[in-house]
Amino acid sequence: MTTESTARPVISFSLPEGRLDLAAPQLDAWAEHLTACYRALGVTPGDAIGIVDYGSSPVAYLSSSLVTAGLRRGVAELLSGSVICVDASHERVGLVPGILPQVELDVVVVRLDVVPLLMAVLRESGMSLAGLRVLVTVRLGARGAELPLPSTTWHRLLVVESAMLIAPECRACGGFHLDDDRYDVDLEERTVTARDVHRAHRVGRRVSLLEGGCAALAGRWRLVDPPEPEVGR
Amino acid sequence: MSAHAAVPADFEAWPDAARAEWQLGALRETLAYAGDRSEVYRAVWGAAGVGPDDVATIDDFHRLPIVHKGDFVEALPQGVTRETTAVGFSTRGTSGMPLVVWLDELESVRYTLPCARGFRWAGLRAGDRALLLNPGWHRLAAMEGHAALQLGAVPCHFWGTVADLAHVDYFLDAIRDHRPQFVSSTPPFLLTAVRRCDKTGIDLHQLFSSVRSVSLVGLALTPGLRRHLADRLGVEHVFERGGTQEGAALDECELHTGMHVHEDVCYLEVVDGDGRPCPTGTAGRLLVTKLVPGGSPFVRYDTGDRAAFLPGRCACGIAFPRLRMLGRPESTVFVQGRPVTAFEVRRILDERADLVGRISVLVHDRERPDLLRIEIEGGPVDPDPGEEIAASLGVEHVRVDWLHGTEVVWGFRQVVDVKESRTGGGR
Repeated sequence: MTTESTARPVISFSLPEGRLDLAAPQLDAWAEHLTACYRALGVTPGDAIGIVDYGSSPVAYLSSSLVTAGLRRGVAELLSGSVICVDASHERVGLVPGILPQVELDVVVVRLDVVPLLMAVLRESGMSLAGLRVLVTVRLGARGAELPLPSTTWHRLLVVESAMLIAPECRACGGFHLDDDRYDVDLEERTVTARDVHRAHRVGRRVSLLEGGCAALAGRWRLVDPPEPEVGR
Repeated sequence: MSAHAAVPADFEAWPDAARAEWQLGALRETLAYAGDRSEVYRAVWGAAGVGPDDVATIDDFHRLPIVHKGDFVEALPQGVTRETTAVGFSTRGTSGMPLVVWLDELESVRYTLPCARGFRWAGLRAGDRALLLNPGWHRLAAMEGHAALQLGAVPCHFWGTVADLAHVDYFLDAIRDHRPQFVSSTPPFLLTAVRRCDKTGIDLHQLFSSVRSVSLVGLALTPGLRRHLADRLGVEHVFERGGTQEGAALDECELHTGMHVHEDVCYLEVVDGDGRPCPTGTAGRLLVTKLVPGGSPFVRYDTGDRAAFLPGRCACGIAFPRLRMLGRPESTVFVQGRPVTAFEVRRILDERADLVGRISVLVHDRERPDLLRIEIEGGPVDPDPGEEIAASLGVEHVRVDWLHGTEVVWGFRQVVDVKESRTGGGR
């Protein structure tokens, strides 16, 4: 359950869509939510997670209290696991083949934009992510332009940074299940709003906003981003 | 918890002998931790027939073998780590394979203290908004938010990363949005921001009007570039900050006479090619020993950096010694058998109003070990700086090539091979 916090922000992000201020209780609540999303995607306690994303992404700054001040328990603490942070810049992604032999990872979380680069540098090094659980952070409404995920051990995690819209993809229905305790949905306005940040995210026409869950994951509301590109249909 | 966990608040003012005694205690604690935690140190010390129990004095400590990145890399896959509730960061790997270092809670707490101290020296105050390096980018960045909060400031961030110069617009948007009093960044990124403003007609003084001071890390700052940035941005101070993933931590005071070594968290040595201590003022290899029994241990670790301790005491009253970081192997060429760093060359170029802030790289030319080759962006200036560089550095032959309109991205790597140089291999 999240609560609106009027406490002083402990971290403030200037994002392309606007400012995002978070107070300590909010950071903790979001870390719990992200951990729940990871668990829904198969991440287990004790896992070692490699994160290939910018520090301004919640998957990075919610990863551990050691990384972000004001966060009391991040994903690493909540899962009693470890994280390794790799910036998603071209230079740092190129380091991944050198990092993998040194760390026994269970999970890799990577932002969609850098998946082709990551795969290319691994291929050049004769390496792969086989055997690892790979979570790809995606935006909403771009599914038609995405390449198919290469393996059943790869999963999508919806991350809209400015609106703190974070939801796991359901393997059964293909939708992103929204946490009832965290998000308000306005069907008429087609918006999803995280209660404690008050930033409504307008859902595009191509994405279906469905009421009624499926048996596989909890959540009254689902967002279904069709895989087929609109052009040529 | 470490016996040395409680670092005295006034440690920076302690007399030399008292600090040295405190450091020896911390060193012995570190050695015990490294011996307990690290297969690499057990192996290296075992092969040399020494160990933590043999260290009673600082001279004993100096007899421990120097450890290199290769020692860790060779230990793979035995060196594969699986830490619990810890955070890993990777070194840049610019001098070979990257090395993963682990940060734990004790180390985070202990290293936040010098970071906050350095930010305090640099003018960060309670109530300020501090635009910081993004969390997760580097071990140093992970300390920044903690330090800012400790000082009562609000950590602010821009979208993206300092490692991608294409993200500079997001940085400029964040300056506009947050109106920070304090900014932490890297020299290449900030210089790119200045150029971006020049190109798009943004008034730099107006944009940075809320900013009192800027702290820069990642690349040695020349005096000329510091003055240039302070003037262009209209800020009171541009500070240099130093640190490595392996545990070195340094900050300038407001006199800008060199970076003070935070002696409560690291013990630094500068040694020659044979591992003997270099006299103060003489450049050599930098060895880092982390004085915190937490995270990945590093004892007498050769970072590959070249550095020199500065003579005398700083007039600011801080007792910590000062160190000048000169560069790394990837920013160094050998001319007539002696190392020349890109910093040494930039220090000369940045003193000239017609060259300060221009990007320059050294060209590694195996076939001309007697020649110092420099490529500088833009068109030629008069007089050509080659003669002055030759005289200042004691190098016989210097060749400057001008890159004219060729776009150059300034990064941490400042040496290119002759084959990849923009002006080719023509001699």
